Amino acid sequence: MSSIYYYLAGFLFTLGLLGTIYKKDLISILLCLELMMGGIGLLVILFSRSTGLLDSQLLVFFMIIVSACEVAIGLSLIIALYRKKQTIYTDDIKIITE
Amino acid sequence: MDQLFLIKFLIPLFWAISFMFAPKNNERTIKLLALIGSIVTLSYSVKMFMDLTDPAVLQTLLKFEMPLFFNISYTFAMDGLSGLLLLLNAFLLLVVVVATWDIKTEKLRLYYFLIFLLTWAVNGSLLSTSLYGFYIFWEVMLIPLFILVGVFGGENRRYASFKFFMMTAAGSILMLASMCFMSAMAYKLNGSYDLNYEVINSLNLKYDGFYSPQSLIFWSFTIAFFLKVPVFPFHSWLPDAHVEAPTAGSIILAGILLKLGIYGFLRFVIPLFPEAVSANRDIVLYLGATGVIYGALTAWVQKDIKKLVAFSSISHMGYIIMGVFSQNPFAVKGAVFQMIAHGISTPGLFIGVHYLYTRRHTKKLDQFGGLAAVMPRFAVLFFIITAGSMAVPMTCGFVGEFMIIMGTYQINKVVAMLAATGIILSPIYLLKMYHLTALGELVHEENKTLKDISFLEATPLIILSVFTVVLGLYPKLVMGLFDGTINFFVNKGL
Amino acid sequence: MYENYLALIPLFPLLAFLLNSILIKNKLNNVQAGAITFVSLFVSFILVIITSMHVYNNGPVNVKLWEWMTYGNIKFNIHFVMDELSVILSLMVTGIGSAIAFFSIGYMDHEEKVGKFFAFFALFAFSMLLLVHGENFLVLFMGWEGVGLSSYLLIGFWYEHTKNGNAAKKAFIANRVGDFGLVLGMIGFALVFNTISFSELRTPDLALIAANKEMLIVSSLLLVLGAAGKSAQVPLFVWLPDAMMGPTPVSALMHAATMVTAGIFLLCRVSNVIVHFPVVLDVIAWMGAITALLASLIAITQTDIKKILAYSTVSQLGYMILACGVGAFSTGLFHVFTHAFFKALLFLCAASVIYGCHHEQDIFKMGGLKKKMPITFWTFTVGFLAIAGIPGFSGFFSKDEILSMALTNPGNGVWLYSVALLTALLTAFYMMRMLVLVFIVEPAHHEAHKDEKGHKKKHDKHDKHDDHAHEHHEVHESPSVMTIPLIILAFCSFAAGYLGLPHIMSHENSRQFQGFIEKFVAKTAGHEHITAQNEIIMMIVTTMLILCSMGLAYYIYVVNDHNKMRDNLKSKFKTLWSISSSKFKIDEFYELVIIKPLYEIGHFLVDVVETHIVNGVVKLVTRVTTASGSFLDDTKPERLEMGILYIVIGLTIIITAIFNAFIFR
Repeated sequence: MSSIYYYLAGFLFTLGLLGTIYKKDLISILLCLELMMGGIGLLVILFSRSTGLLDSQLLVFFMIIVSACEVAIGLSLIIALYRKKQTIYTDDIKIITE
Repeated sequence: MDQLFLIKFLIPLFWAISFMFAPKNNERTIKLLALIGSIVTLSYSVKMFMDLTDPAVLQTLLKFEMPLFFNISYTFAMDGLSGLLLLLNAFLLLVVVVATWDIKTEKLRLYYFLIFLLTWAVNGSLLSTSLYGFYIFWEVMLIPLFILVGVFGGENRRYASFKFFMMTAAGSILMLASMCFMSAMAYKLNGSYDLNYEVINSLNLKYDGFYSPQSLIFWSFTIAFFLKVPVFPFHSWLPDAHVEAPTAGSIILAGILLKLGIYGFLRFVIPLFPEAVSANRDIVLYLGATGVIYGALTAWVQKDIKKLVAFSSISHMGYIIMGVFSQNPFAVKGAVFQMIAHGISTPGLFIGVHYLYTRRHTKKLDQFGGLAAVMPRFAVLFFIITAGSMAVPMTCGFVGEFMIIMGTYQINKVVAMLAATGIILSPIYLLKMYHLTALGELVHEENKTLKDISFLEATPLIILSVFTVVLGLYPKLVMGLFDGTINFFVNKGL
Repeated sequence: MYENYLALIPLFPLLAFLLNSILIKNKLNNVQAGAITFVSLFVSFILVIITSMHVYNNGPVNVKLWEWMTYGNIKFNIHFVMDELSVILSLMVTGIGSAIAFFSIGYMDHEEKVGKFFAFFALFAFSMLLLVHGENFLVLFMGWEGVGLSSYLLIGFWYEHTKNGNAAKKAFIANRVGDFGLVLGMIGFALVFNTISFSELRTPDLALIAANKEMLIVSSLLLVLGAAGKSAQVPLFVWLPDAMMGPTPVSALMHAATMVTAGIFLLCRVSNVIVHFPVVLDVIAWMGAITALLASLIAITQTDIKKILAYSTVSQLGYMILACGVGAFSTGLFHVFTHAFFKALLFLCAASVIYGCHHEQDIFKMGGLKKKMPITFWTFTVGFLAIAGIPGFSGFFSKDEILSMALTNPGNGVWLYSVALLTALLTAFYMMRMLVLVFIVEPAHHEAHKDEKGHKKKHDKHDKHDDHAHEHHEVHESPSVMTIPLIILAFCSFAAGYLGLPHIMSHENSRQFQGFIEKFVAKTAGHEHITAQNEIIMMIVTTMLILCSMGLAYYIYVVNDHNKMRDNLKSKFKTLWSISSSKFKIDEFYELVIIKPLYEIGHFLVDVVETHIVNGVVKLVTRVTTASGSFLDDTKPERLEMGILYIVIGLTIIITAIFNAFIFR
């Protein structure tokens, strides 16, 4: 019964993954990345529950800190990009051409 | 163990890095720095060599383990054979610096950086007895030479440098694959991925047929070294690399890098895979003899003097690979001696070509002729070097060839006779080269005003000529150094 | 004490070489440079005489200088020896060498770069002495190649002309073909007998010989190839006539007296072994006989004074080889000895003539020199009588013995004898022709030829008559520095024969020379015995035939004015004459069959094999790699993000697989 939480974590992660792939605007992609992060965090806490060690819960705190920094940098990059290209849609930004 | 070894070993590396900090436009300083560096390298090499108590035994100089990194250890050890090649390397460094003293390029610091880096990598390769250490330095050697040819070379340099790099790297990858395989087996046995003599011997690789472990590993190593030596079918990078390389590149390539392939055979392949060597001996002997004849005939028809010398290298290395694979101690010693002799005569030829090139900016044979009238000193020294390459008795070239032919004769007479035809073929192309450059009539107007070589330019040629004659008359000078080692290797192999 | 002398004998010429080389920049003139070489050779000569007398009484002298290498039991040492064989050759080299050096001082007096000439001369003397005094194959081979190298340097002395360089290259490469044989033969001997020392091969182990027959036969034949290369036998003789491009004293020394005899010397050194193999001896005998005949057939139509002598040398070398082939090694060496004197004499006379006629070499342009160059004429006559084999002169004794040895050879003796006799008659013929055309007959007016350096003589039409008159006014006898050696050599050509008198002429003093040599070489054996009577009859008949031959030549060239008879005969035997004068087209044959095909093979290797096959593999690998790369490029997703999806999916699969493998081990 407690395995449903694993499914929840997996569901969150998959949702975030599909979002980063199929979403067209940069902020949504960033949000979906955070979603993936959330799923992984939930997974790590579940490890703590199953092994009985509290180390994983500590790890989650570190992960949150790291994701906060990452979001900060990501947002500033988006703003810089917006200033340059005047758009946030990936279709209109062609820096790496195929 | 030598306490200061690590410092001594890293001197060329530090010197190379120091070029990055040298003043950019002060040509004099940079060249002087290079000269001092080469003298320092030579002196410490000599000192390290003198400190060898017994040339026949591998003396460990430094060993450090890396337990976290798959438990691999680096061992640096030296014996007579590696010591001799170390000396040759340092000596050729000095020769290169002096012979190319008048080079004019904007990227002078890069030039010397690469040369010193190359020297360091070769030293590392020679001194490592752990297979991984050897492999790492082996790969590192490719990079400076690649850049040297690619930046300072002739017109077709990109093609030549890529070809050289790709071909030799391909062989090395093969070697790496079999090394990984051996590491996995070693891990099962002793719990560590390390590879050196004892470990590989304890693996007890079986040999039955072509698809057995020892045979496949033997062939992967052999192909890697064949590409480097180079042996006949795998030689196509050598002529292009030599033609496009700057003189320093050619000298170091012909003088020492080719020898490292042979060193790899002597150090690793022959002691470690004796059954495979015995079984495949005849094939390799025939390849060697073919290389001798092929190199000579293709050299004869060349119109570019540097390509001619490149093919002559293939011819000489054919003798050496024959000597190494004949399981006869006399021939193996002859092969080692011929390595040294080739490392003296061929750089001499390249230096001669360099002096011609700096004066006329062409390497086509039909542009020269009759130079003995305007450049007598050059003609004489060039002749002595040519005679050494032709294996005239009383020069160093004869000793090795004779020993190889005599040793191989006992193993396989046909191969020995085929190789002996090199005695007839080598003067054909070498005298053609000499006649078209130094003798004959002074046809071209530009040749009539050429200046003879100065004392500075003559010095490397004089030293090489002296060695040519002295080693030819008294080969024992060098022979005693690797006697014991070869006996050890060959007895293990037999 | 004698060991020190022995070590010094090759050293003096070496010092002369070094001294002359270093002093080249001082531009020594011919007297100074020549004096250095001459003095060194003469000092060596004195040392040789002293040591020889010791050897004659006490046996061989040895001195080991240093150890070169060892291989098991085989010791490769730098080791000199003066044994019976070395005595003879060393006396020849140093004695005749000093005489020729002295002569060259006069000959080269208007040349440039004399220092270089005398340096190379000394280098040659050094190498030849190494060869002669070598106690083992190694030192002999060092000297062997050394003389090859000096020969190359001296033939191509006037290197500005490509022809001289090509002749030098040809000589070196032909020699190298022989060296191929010598090296392999040497190795064979070393492996069988476990030694390379000649002192030990003097008395070889018969059990070893019997046990290793095939190997020894092959090795001996290879050594014969080596001898053929150096001694200009068929098929490798083609370098010797071209070698005449060098200065004439060089031709005298090397290509007449000393270097070319190295092949016979080698055969004598190993005579004690090869005597056991009749197959090898037959090969040697026929090689010598064919060479002798072929060369003399070519010589009868040559017009260049030096080329006639060159072919004559090849022919006489054939005689020496023939003698070795019938087992009479001491006789062969005796002919080497006498030939050295009279051939050197003939060449120096030719040099004197060339010098006197201002570098003219066509015998049809010379003539009537008997009055203008008397000393040269008379010394030349002595040499001519010696080579023709007139009784009383040295050539007679050695040649006669060879003829009788050939006749009595079991099996093919009669054929060998006929070939040798025919050659002797031809020799007499062409030598008389040369004597007559150079010295006796008044010259006709023919086109000028190139002189020995290759400079075309300046030839103005209306100056033609003046030129000839001018030349003949200026033809003069050579200075005494050149005629003194001629006289000395003439005396030796006369007297040397008396060292080898046959039995019938003197019982006590017969065959002094051969007896001395046979202390080393294999004794002549297995021949049928000729009665004294038959021998005298043979001698008389041979001499009469030779006199007839000489008379025929005299008749054709002297008695008939202005070569009318000669032109008649020439047009009657047109084809034969052209075969002979074009040297049987052997050079062209080699060019066509060996050199050109090899060159074409080289081109083929480069153009086809190198570019397509060897490089082809490399290009194939490159193409396959790039093709697969571009193929995979087509499977790339259009959007970057899809790529990320694929990566994630793939990674998941891999990690799951590994994880499962670890768990379910």
